[in-house]
Amino acid sequence: MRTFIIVLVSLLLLVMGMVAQDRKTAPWDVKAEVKYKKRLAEVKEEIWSAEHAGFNNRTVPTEHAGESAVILSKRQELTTPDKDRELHQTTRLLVKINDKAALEEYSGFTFNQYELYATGGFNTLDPFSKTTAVTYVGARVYKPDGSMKEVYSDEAVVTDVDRWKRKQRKLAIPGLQVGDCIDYFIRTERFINHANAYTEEVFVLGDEHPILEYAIHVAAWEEVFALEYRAMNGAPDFKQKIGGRMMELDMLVRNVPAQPLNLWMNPFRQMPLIRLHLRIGGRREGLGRRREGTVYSNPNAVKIRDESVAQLVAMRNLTSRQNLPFLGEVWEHVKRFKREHRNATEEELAAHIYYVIRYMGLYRVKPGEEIVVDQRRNYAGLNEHNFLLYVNYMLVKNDIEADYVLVTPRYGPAQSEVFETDDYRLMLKTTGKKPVYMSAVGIFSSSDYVPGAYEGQRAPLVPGGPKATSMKGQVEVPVSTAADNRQVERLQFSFGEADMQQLRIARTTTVTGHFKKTQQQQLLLFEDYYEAERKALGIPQSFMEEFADSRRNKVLAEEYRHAFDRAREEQREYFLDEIKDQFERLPEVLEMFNIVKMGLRHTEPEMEYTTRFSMNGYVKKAGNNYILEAGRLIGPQMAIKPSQRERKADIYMPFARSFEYNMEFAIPPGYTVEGADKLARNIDNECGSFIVTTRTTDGKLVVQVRKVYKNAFAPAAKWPLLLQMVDAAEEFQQQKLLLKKA
Amino acid sequence: MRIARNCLYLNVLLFSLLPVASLRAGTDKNIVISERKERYEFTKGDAKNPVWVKQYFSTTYRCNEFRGTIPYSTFYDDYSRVDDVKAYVSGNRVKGLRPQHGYYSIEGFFYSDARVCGFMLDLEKKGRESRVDLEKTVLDPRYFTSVYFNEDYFLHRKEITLVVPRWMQLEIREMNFNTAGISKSKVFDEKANADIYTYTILDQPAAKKELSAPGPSYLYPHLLVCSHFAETPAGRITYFGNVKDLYNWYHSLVKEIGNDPGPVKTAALQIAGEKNSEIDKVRAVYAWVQENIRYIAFEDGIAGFRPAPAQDVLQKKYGDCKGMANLLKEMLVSLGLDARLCWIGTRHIAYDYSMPTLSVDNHMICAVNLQGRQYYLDATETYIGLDEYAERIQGRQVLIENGGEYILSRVPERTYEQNRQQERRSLRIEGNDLTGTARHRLTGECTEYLLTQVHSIKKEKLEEAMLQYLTADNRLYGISGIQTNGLQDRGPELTIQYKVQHKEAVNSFGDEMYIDLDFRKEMDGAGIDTLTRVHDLWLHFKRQVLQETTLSIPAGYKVKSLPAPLLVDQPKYAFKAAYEVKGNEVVYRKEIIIKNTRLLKSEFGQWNEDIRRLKQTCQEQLTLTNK
Repeated sequence: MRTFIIVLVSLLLLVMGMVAQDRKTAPWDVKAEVKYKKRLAEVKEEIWSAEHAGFNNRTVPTEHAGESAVILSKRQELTTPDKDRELHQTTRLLVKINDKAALEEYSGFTFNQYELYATGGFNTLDPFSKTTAVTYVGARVYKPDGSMKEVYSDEAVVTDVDRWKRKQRKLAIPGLQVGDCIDYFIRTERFINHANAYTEEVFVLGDEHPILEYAIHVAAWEEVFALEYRAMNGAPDFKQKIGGRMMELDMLVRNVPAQPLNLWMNPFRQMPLIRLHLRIGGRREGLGRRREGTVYSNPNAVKIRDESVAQLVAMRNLTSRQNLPFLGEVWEHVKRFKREHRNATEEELAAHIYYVIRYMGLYRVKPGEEIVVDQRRNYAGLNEHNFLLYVNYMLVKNDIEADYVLVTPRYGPAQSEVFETDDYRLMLKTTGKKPVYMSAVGIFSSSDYVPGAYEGQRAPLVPGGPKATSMKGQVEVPVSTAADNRQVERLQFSFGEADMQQLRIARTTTVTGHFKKTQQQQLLLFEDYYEAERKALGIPQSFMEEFADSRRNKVLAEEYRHAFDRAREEQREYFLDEIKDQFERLPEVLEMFNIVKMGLRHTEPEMEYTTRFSMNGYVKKAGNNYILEAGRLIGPQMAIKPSQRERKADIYMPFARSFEYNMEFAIPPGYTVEGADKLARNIDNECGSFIVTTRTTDGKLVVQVRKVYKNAFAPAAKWPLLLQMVDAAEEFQQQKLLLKKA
Repeated sequence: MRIARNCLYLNVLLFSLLPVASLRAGTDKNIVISERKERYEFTKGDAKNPVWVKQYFSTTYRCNEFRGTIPYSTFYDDYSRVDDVKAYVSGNRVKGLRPQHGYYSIEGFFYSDARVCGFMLDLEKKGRESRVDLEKTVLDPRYFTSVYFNEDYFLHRKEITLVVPRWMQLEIREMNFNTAGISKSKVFDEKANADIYTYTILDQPAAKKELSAPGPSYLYPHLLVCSHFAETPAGRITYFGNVKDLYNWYHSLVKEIGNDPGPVKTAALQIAGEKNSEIDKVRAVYAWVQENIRYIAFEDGIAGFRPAPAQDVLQKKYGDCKGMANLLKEMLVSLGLDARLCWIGTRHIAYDYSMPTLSVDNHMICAVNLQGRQYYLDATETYIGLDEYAERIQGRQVLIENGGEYILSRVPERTYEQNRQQERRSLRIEGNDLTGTARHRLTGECTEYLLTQVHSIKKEKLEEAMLQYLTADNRLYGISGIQTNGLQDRGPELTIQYKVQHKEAVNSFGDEMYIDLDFRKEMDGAGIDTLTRVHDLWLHFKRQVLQETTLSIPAGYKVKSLPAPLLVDQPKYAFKAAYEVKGNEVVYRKEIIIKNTRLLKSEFGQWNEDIRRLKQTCQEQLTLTNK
């Protein structure tokens, strides 16, 4: 494999060398430019001469005068001019520029004049061939007095030429000013080469700016192509016309209001949109094949699901020892586990298999690898399908029954609206007495982790065993609660002896559930979690010991030692950043930091760490007394902007969650505390809660703050309930305590 | 378009299980430059460019701790080329090395002719070395202006050699050599008939980029090279022997612009309209160019030095600094005014025209003379007023065109009084809230800064953005009835006024009320981390921040204690804060003055101490108690 990569890179470099450092335009480019100009002239003639009434109206209704920009007309076209699998995609907009922000937005276009889209082989940019997409841009600027100026993409400056990828240009729009209208088009022409290939179009009926008229036109040659589309979230249907050997879809929508994306929105389930595929048709339908000359409007989602199931079954059946890396070693570990844990339950064995493969894929270190042991390592991940196919293969071989779970994530289309097989993601679920869901979300993924986006989704099951070829019912993926996803802070505060305004903080932080991964990625060191996992899997020798024992790799062990030391030095910065994230400012002094629990496995569901530091800015002098800004000690709280306070869209949050702050204040000798009674809060409704309680014990003031988002989803009507809790938390930040000199 | 990739999944299984982390070049402790040799040799060129500067670089990297891969890159442009690159890893030549060449995008530039040539260089293992040998040619000595000693990695030894044939006359100025420990020798090579200058430097830390730091020409030792002339068989070629030569070259480019006075005059007359006085005409034209011409930076060969024709900029409504300056000049000249182009180096550059090279300037503005007084117009500053100057050009030397001659002058210095940011509040206590009115007044660069932000925000979001700014994103700091002056139209100052209701701002405990009258705490994050900061720190501009809050003392209450005043008055800045009882009012007045923006490292300790005192004062509470 390594040899192959070297050969590939060498070949790449060889070809690149041919164009190296020649400041003159390459002959292929000069030749292509002649053709480009000729075709550009045809394209602009075609586009400007097309009669579309919306582009003749340059008057903005008064109700839109306050908008930064108004899209007077928008037209998107997808057409196939002949039977040669050629495809033309055109977007044309007429926009009124109302302020400088809009002027900036529309004053320049960066585009790939040529872009290589054919994969495989050693293709290079070859404009006007079947491997390279060509893009044309043109713009007309209309002044309020009716005069017009135009500019085209052949006048743009070249900003990048990469023979393996693209030729990029940048076009500045001359003469454009606030008050003008710009009418511009972007046309891309290319070919569909592969028989199973299709275009992926998403027409969103909503934009940051209002659209007065939005037209979509699709026309495909019926002898060659098939069309399929799905209108979602209230988007209207196309008008269909099949005749003259063309399939045509048309839509005209007027007065689409501005629809900026807002807090906790889910565009795929909330914005009106149309997904469309234009694909090569076949004589007969089949897996991933559509019949030529057919328009599949809002196709049955079950059909897509069945295609996904069939694909998965095919991949499952192809998984074998021939294509699974390090299988021998995995088997060795599993066999040893079984020998040493004869009474292990099915769940324990399944988890062991999961962790062995995770270790082999992400933790294990081989001599030829690049040395990466710092924070970057924490972001390493595994391909979901490949990893879970591997795990399932081992489960089956060890007589553990499991099903694949084909799940539609919350931020994609629902199962009833899937449109393509990639809309499904994958998990595994064991079928024993205590079913366990397995996923692959990175180097810290534990064997029972369900990603937040998969929760609560109804999902088809596909048997992991080799014989079954169809799905076996559906399952509802469990939903985690606020109690599962916790961030718990234990904070002990004391006041500086020499400087009362310096607050000393001893802090223990515990995170669980969906909160864990981010903190693990930010704070953990590879050296630590590698060692922990190695020992947990019963691997007797670390790679450091192996390398140190080997004459060939001895120096490598020393190098890793240096790299580990470097990473450990950097860990201090990671903790400083973490404190800044929580308190919005860096500590004056960070005295201590420590990882207590790494939370690497399902058996250790919590990640816990401690920090001890001093902060300024929370204690304010008032004569002989001090004011403590107690409310700010829970860190920054979300503030809902005025424009977001009215809400019509349902609320999609990532997951239910809770935050706890258990604060203990050591009251300094000679002082009393006043105002503790004013801290108490009790907001508790069906969407969330914000509860603060206080008590005094042993000369200490104890304040407990608990903020809970009870659900991941709430209908828009419940927004006021959520606001109550969010506002209460924000207002709590203003709360203060008085330390009064006795 | 996408092909059905799923069938390939198993084939790529091995790849996808590998860690996805990207590679990072070693830091200065791990990978260092054990030796770098640079040789610059003036040679005979071709007919178009009779003198070349051939450059040879040999860089040896050493891996001290753990192996890795580092990027090696070099830059070139329309006036230079890369001739050859060779790489050696652990002594073995890397066969088939083909560096990648590409366009280099420079931040803030719409287009640049800069190109990058680069590849990844392996360092095989601890203790091993890799070397890169590079040959480049600068095609015209005018563009060979400086040689820096520092590198991006810790440098153990660097040797710089300049081979200057006697037919080539130049001046080498040694910059920032003070404590760098650079040794130097000069010998005459009789065979080559050339003087050979050799400089050696040892153990230099890696160059470090820091925010708000002076430009590299202030920070690092370097040679500034000024080619005067070359005696060639075809005769003497004059480069930049003195400022006159530099000006002549610039002027020759200006003469080639091809301005068309017709359309420019028509536009200028329209803009100046009925304005009677010359200064009003200048003000109108300056404001029009600022408002209507978008700044787009282009750097493209000789066009990087020659302004675009005024009529083109006027028609396109965009241009770089040269294009904007030239349009301004042509418009003003068409109105019968004495306007000139000016070349200027912003404060980013350490030099003035005493060393005439292309490194001296990086900007162009326009000067207009009105009744013996020179005004400088920089239209790239979109919202600054006439006779106001941005910090970056204040006090800088300008080369002003004057037909066949030139004039050297300086942009006037301005004090902090040009840039005021004042906020006056009048508040009373209502329950636990503070209510009243607030008025902001901004001038000079404070206006420029705020309006630049304001106009980058979409119209429909502007009000919310203003609220966020004025309330410091604190929902309990409620404001209403905002009135602005100068937000959309240009005036001498920008004013904003509104009503305030700061909820829960009064903390009552027993008979006492505690009130924080300092809402904004402007310099809260202004401390400098002296452990990590390497370079001096230059603040953005001189300014005066004034916060004044008048609080009515409620009936039945009196002031129990006033926080102690603060008075810090340093040569470069002043922090003042004081509470005063005037009748039944308490007046809190805080003033922050930045008199000089350039904080030296040696001043950081005092600055931090003064900032600490300022922060502490801003934290103190006013205490009112029952009478």
